[in-house]
Amino acid sequence: MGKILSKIFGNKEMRILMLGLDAAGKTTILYKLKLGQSVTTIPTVGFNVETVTYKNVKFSVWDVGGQDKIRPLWRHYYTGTQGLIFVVDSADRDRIDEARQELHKIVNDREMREVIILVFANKQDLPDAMKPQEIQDKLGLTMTSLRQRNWYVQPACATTGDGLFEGLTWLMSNHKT
Amino acid sequence: MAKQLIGSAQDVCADCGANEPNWVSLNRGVLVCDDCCLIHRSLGRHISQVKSIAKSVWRSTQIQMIAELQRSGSNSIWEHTLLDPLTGKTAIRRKPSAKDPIHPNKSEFIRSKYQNLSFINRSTNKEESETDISEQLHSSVRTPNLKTSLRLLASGADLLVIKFFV
Repeated sequence: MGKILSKIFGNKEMRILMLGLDAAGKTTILYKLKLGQSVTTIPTVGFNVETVTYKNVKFSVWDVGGQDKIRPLWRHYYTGTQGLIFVVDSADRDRIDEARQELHKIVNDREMREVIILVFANKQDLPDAMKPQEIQDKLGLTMTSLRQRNWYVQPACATTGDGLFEGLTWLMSNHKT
Repeated sequence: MAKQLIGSAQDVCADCGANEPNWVSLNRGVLVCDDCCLIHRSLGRHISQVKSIAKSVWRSTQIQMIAELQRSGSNSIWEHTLLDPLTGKTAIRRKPSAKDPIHPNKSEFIRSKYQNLSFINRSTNKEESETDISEQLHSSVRTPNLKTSLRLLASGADLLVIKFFV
């Protein structure tokens, strides 16, 4: 019955992996999407997974901890991923290069070749936050190796929720079924 | 490796005094507990850059820096007026203890302490311009006295300012 209904109403599912450096705001984004409220979080040691339904699309969002020591574990979550959300702290200029290196490592992995890439330029509310254009340049998204990939930088503020659903909208309209 | 040099049994959380702090705020040079770390994170990395003592990758220079700042009592920079016998008694705000709730006690204190810099020593800086303290910082970074450099940075010194004057 569920299958028939989903065929009629066009329900789709999408597996999303959300990565980024520690304290970028991944868990805050996940729970803002899920619960609609801002939560205080502790550093994620393992992962959190929640399903978020938006405009008839069921997103299962995997939020994996970003602490440096556990980043080598990210690749265990690659299989079956259809969309990558890469979260950047736009005010953290010191580590934007570290973020660039991690992003390139992920998207160049064999299992991640086909995924579409949504970058949340998070913490846009902070003074001196980098704008999407600057984030795009500093993450090396315009480089030759990534030119053929489907990516998009969405400015966001996880605590207020600004930009989050715009990001999901981009994911579902660019997802090829 | 980090665990051996910082976060020893005598160490307590710089913000609430809880035992066995598990986190370091790199840019503030203090050790904090799990509860206070939560607040530090929510303020953003431009205010505090927290790193796990046991569960992070540490460069040896970072460990040395934190161990040295700990040894010289860097927390007194951020709590100067609370510790000063002259102003300390009249200080309206009391430092939270480990048992106090995170909200509002710990969160408000941490916000005042690091975001608003409510307790740093401002009295000596009134006659000094930003250029003066930036010059002092320029000299201080050439010495091994890390705490002095951190105190000058807290007072608003900026190494980049000096470039235009020398």
